[in-house]
Amino acid sequence: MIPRPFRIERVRQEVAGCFSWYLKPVDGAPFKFLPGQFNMLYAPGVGEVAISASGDCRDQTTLVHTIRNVGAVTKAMAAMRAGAMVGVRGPFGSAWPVEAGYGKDVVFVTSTIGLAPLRPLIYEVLNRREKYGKVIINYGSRGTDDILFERDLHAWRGRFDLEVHVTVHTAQSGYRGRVGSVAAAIKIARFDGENAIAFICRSEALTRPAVQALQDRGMTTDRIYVTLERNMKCGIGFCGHCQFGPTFMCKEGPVYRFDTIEKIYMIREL
Amino acid sequence: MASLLVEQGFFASVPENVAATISELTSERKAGIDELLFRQGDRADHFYLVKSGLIAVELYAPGRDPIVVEHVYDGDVVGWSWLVAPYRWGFDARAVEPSSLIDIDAAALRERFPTDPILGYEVMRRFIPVMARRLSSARERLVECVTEPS
Repeated sequence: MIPRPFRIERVRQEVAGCFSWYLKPVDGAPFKFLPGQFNMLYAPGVGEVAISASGDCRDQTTLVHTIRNVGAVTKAMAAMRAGAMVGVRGPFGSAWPVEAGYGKDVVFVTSTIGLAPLRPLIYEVLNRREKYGKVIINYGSRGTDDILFERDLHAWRGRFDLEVHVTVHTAQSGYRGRVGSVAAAIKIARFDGENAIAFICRSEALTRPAVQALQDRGMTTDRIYVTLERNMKCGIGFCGHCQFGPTFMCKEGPVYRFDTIEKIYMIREL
Repeated sequence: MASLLVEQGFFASVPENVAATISELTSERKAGIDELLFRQGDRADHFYLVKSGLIAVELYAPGRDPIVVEHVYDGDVVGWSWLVAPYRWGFDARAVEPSSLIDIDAAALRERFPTDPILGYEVMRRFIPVMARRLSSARERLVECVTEPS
């Protein structure tokens, strides 16, 4: 696939080492995606990286991606400014099942930059708020200075129909917010584990503890969805770089229902 | 005080005679904002049940403000170093909000364990899950720091 040209309309520094691009298609045609899908972003002359969309999927004129500056390509991207041209291939991969949560309590479990791939889903759940029971967001960050999308979190916490738990790993003395683990926040969240659906996006090493914390609250793994991350290259299941057991993560993933991958998830050789 | 202990949650369903023994060693305590309950390195001879308020477990760091590593809320327990020799606090505990606490004389309680193994067992079976939960919480955050670079 040939990358479609987009122009960077705005660059927003989110937290240290993490920024968002607001992209406009040069041809003006709408860009459709579903929450949880990713695009291959191309920095001309440098390379491509797979990044999940982090904006509102109902806004088809502006594509938002939140990028962490960790490698050669993302380092080059961090240096690009508004007005620069980039390439976009996509959208690729599976989406969060928005309608699977109808009639259920919805629990989001995420930390650090994991909030970015979940944000389109949170927007969509809030757009359809009357379809769901309780909606709970459990978010963890390292400290009080690197809370991603803090403005969104403040806005969400200000709503009467949302429960938002923000927990930090450590804080300065006198801080009155929650200090501890995300799992501890799951423990105190008010939802009906027998009739809830959960969406997890965090470090894969910590996905399993999050699943366990949800199971402790009565949830079953057929109602828990996770998003995973691998080395996506082609984005269309040809190259095999993102193979995960019998699946290609760029096609069958990155969003999986946990019971469908539970067995292979713990196979260390994969 | 025995009924207060049982109602508080941490010692819920404890046998009556054990509740009676612990309640003999129990008093109520209020802590104002910024008041230290205990200090890293001091002898660990009390522990506290939080009835209401908010307690921060902090690490003293020379040359900078203390670092909060855990918050303890209503119904939870503050302090388990009194169970582990050499019985010195590993962290500071500070009230972040005006707090109402049940203060238990841990040194006296500890002394009774050798002659009252049921008491020791009932206390241990309540503290070990707290220790496991906090260890797990610390490990999760450690892993997140490694796997999610800032």
